[in-house]
Amino acid sequence: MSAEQHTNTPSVRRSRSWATAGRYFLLLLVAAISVGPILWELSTSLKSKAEDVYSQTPSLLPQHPTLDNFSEVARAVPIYHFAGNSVTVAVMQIVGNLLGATAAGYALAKLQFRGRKLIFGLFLSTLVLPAEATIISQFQTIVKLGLGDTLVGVALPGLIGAINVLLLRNAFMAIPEELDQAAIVDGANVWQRFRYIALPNVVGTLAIITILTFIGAWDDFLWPLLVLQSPDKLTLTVGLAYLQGTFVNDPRLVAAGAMIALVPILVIFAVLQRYFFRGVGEGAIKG
Amino acid sequence: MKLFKVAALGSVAVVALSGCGLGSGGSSAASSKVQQSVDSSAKLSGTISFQTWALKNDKFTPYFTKLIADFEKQHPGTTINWIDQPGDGYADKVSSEISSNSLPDVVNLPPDIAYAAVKAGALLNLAKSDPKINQTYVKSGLSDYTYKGVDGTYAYPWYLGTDVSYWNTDILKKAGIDQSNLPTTFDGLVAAAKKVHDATGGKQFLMSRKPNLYDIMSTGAPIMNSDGTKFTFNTDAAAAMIGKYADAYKAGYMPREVLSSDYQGNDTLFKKQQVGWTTSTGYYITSLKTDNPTLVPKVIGSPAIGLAPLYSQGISVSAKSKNPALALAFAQFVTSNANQTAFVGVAKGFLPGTQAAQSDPRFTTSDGTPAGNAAVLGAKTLPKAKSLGAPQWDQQDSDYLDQQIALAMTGKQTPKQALDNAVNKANSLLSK
Amino acid sequence: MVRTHRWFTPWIMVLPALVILCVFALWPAVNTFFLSFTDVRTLSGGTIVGLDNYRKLVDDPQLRAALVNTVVYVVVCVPLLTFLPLLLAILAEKPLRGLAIFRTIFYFPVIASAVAVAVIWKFLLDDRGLINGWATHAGIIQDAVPFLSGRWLLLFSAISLTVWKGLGYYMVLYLSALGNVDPQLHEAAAVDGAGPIRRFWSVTVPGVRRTMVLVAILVMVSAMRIFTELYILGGKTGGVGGQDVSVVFLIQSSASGADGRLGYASALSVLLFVMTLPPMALLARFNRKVDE
Repeated sequence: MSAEQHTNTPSVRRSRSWATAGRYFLLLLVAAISVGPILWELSTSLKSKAEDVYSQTPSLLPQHPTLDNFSEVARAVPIYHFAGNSVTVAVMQIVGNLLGATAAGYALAKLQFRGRKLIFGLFLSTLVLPAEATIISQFQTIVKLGLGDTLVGVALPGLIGAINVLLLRNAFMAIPEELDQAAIVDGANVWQRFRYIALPNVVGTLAIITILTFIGAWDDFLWPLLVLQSPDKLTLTVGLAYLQGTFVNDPRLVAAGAMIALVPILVIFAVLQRYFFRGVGEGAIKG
Repeated sequence: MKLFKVAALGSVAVVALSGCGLGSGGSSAASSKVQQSVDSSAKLSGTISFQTWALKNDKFTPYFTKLIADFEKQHPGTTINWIDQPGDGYADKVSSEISSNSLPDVVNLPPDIAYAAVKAGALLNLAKSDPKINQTYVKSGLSDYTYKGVDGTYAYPWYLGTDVSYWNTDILKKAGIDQSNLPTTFDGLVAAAKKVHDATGGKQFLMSRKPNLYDIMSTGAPIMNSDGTKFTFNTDAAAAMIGKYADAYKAGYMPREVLSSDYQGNDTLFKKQQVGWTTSTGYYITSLKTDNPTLVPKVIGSPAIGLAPLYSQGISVSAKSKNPALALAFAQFVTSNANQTAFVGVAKGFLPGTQAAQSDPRFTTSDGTPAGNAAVLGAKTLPKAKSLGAPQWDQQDSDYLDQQIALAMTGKQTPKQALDNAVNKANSLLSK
Repeated sequence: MVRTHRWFTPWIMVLPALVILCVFALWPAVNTFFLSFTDVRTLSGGTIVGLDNYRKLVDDPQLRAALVNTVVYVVVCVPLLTFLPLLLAILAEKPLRGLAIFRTIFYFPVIASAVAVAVIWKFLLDDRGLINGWATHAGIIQDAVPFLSGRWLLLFSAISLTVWKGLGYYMVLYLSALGNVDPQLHEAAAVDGAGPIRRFWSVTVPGVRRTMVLVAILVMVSAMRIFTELYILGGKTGGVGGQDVSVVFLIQSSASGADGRLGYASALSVLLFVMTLPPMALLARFNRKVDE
């Protein structure tokens, strides 16, 4: 943390390079703490049966790397099927949010109608509620609708998130009024303005919502834990919790399960992180 | 590899306590519902679904396929769809079936889950539709499905099991314990556990479980008061028993991880040959033949220590069945003496729930193998076996008791406190 | 704005979102309150029992443990997660080669599913796990430290997992705040001879004070809502003797099971809501101010 100095004497330069080295060292240290446990688990998931995972002097690199654990774990519980269930829920929620939240966000931002303020207030008010506080009543509603123990039941409450409606409303608000006015003069109706002017301007926000929705659905635990009971319907997180409760005797399999839950999401994130960081600054998301 | 542990048969006959606790006495949801009685003389036709619990596996699938084929042949124009649910989470599964109105027409339920279903008005009162029920089935089985404060009987007793003690002879030999003179009392068990501990330097164990409600019942403590409105098992005798467990734990006669939440369980450790004693149904050695064949020659059975618990399974009919006549006929068919006897022929060590089968010599004569001996031991213990008789006792109560006992075993509270807490909690959870 | 659309067009656009909002957010909020005065269960019940559930709350020893745990969680997490991410953000703010990679790595624990990372930590903290194995081997300890079964150790294990997982998230919040601190202030302080630590306290902290308050509130609320870490590390029973539970944990455990006690769970939910209300209200005021 050296101050930016506008002098350039050798001693200053030297101290600055020391400062940079120090920063790198600290950054590497925190990176090791952040990613170390994950790498360790990755290594465990690749270790063969012949290699002891609990030995006194464990090695980070597997001596005989093998993918056996990833097929073995599927014999123990249908983990890839669970992953498929998680994807199903995520896709439902992504589609729901892209359509529903976009439409509602647009109407709240760009269309005059009676009751707009009230509806906006309703969406805003729900942000104050911790999700866990309404989960029981949501559960009862889902059960009464006959959707208990179904993936639709898991996806439904998050089909259109209030936060996404508000994010999109803000994004649509940022579009200059003149564009709309010009289009109106040209005789464009509301659907055309929505399609050709508004949508292209919020692609970034839509991308962020897609990423966040996917991560949210993929990582969600408490809600699917309540809704799902059948072993063939579990989502990945619930299945993983179940796996580690049942097969604690082989940490390699549990590690493989954890990797199946982690690797896809981390890869997706690493690829899309640029869009993501741009968007996260726009508002504190995720409770 | 099997997806889930079979809970009902074989490995662990854990009483998957579930359901809920409605203190009886009041009117219940079930009795306020209109109960149809079924005319069983009508011509049968149509389709019903039949749900079993953890019985679709190499061992039992052939039996059910044949059973269903036989029935469909006898009654042309009928179709039975067989569904099987895994051992884990059955109570939750059944409750979600009930709440979404998709409970199969004929369903295999243990008494506690059946009780939750009865309170929700989901099961048919069989006593009403089948006047001969009391002459056909054993009393102990019927009484497990007849609930205080609710009129009627809600399942045909199907198969009954109880616990037998099993010992690993290798570990017994190491500790110098005589196989012909195995412990028959709890104190004898602790003494033997000390021998194992001393002989193996604390590497192997005999005991590896926390006491549960059955152990408390063994001490003669009344689980509930006579009208089933309060739990009353916090007696000094029960506290003394827990105290003995706590002492054994402190002395190192049990694995340390017994108390931790991800403890693999006594059954797993027995199969890994780290502990020398477990309890399971008379079917246990037979089931080991498929799962752990190398262990089979090392295992011998002996009568249960203390009170033998009774585990019932029953066949119930959904009150909302669209085809009640067929459902009832099939439930009777599944639980008929001939079919039950054939079933227990596969599930050795259990007894059928029919009166006619109780004196059947087939179940009480052994072929001389340890597996056969254990099966006979199970069958012979059954008449003395007792069920908890408290369907109000549910999973939450059970979890809480378990936690309190764990605290007592670590010495954080006295056994009496643990029992008082568990009783108070269970009573506060009983709905009024 | 000129009206160029028929009156019902906006309603068509808002309707799907509004339906979901009403059925799964507004109605549950109202309904939870009603349910908390009944003995509703998953399969049965539905009589009004007045304050019965709340009376049971007061007598529930597990809830007392849960509230103590929540207080500990808040007291430990709030300072840690208010300051550590700030230091990390200062470290990761100024341009440096490869910084994007570091930021991405710091964010990995945030993105990772809580269940998966809790499973990993469980494996590290196990009696025979990496940490205990290494420490016994190195002769630092004789017996394994019971990270997963000790009453307080388990709670602190969960806290450390929460802190580890939250670092990157709050760092990103600070990064955008640091961008708004005038670099000239730093220079002026440096000219006055203030060292880095002095400058941190006198320039950086005042510059990001608003964000620090925001972060502290967010941490507080999420500490009150803790569940997954405890559920995975301590197991379904909440540690040995059920002492390591949280309010959400109890909501889940009383509502699950074959015939869950939804009434009691709702009373717990109302309690959770009341607990989070003050920080949430602060947050709402705070956001309004920022908007203005």
